[in-house]
Amino acid sequence: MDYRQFGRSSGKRGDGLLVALIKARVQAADEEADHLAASQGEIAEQFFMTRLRARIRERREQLEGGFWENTVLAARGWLLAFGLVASLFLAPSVVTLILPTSQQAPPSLASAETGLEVLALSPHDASGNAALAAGGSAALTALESIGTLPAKEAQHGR
Amino acid sequence: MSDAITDTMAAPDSALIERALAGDAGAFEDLVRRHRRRVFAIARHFFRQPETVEDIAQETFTKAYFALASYQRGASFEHWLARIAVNNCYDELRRRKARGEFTVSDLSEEEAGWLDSKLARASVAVQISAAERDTASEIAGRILAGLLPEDRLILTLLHAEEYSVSEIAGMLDWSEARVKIRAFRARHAARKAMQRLLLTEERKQRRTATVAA
Repeated sequence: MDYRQFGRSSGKRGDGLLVALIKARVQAADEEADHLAASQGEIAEQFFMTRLRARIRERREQLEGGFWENTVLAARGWLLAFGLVASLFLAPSVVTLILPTSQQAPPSLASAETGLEVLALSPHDASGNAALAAGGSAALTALESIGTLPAKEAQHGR
Repeated sequence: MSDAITDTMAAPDSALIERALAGDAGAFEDLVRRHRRRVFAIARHFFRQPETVEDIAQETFTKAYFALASYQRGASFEHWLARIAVNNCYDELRRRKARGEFTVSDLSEEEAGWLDSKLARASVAVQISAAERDTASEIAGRILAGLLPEDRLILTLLHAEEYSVSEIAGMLDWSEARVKIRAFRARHAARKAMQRLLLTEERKQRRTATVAA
């Protein structure tokens, strides 16, 4: 017999045999299962039910765990944004609590050492008055040289 | 107690489903007991290893348990379960094919001789006796192992489960035309596989004869 021709020319015949082979396979499998069921019977069913219960329980646990995991993953962006905003709001309060009071108030340093006059003066003649308040002759000489203080006033100052 | 069991077993599927949906685990177990044989039979027609068959049956019932709310009232529960089982088998076939687990081994001299004689005498309908069943089953297994998962699925559903084209289309969410085309291709591929097995055996015999000469 030319086997190479078989696939092309004997389609119906091949199909008939193929169907018979598949049916034989199914019958053999069913027979085997019937023998097994007859020998094991109730015990096999009990085992099957026990394993099925365990599988359902396990799957339920997975699904429940999975629900929370999925929820957190889905809201991850929002949670991150919320955390960022909350930390921005809280940051000044935390800084206030942690840093010492001496580093927070620069005006008190000025009043303690250099005198209040400096702070009380108006801005347009702050440079001259700052020098007067300091009381230094070197400073007066410097002011005369640049012409910001009239000579009369300078003498009176001396 | 025995009356209660009898009542449960006599209750229609729909009543058991309603009870299972209400949280009665016993009712679902009764459904499993009632349809277990059918689900096992479907899995067994695709796979021979008992562990695989049981795994598919368990997976089918587990999926059914969690999808029970989506079951359409009035439809056949057995058909619904069969649909889940068939789809599980199809998934397993694809997984195994992807892992390269199906290996096509050669026919033995005896098997090749048997197949050859059947082919020579074959008419459209072929009868296989009980004594020949094991050999035929082995050959069928080897032919099916060489096919694509889709081809194997269609041939098994058509010739082992004896579903109609429209039933298969409904089960797999395919069109009827797709089922018919796939069945045609599957038969052609199976014929080729059979031919290949015989050719291999023929070559082997020739080689042995040459060595002997």
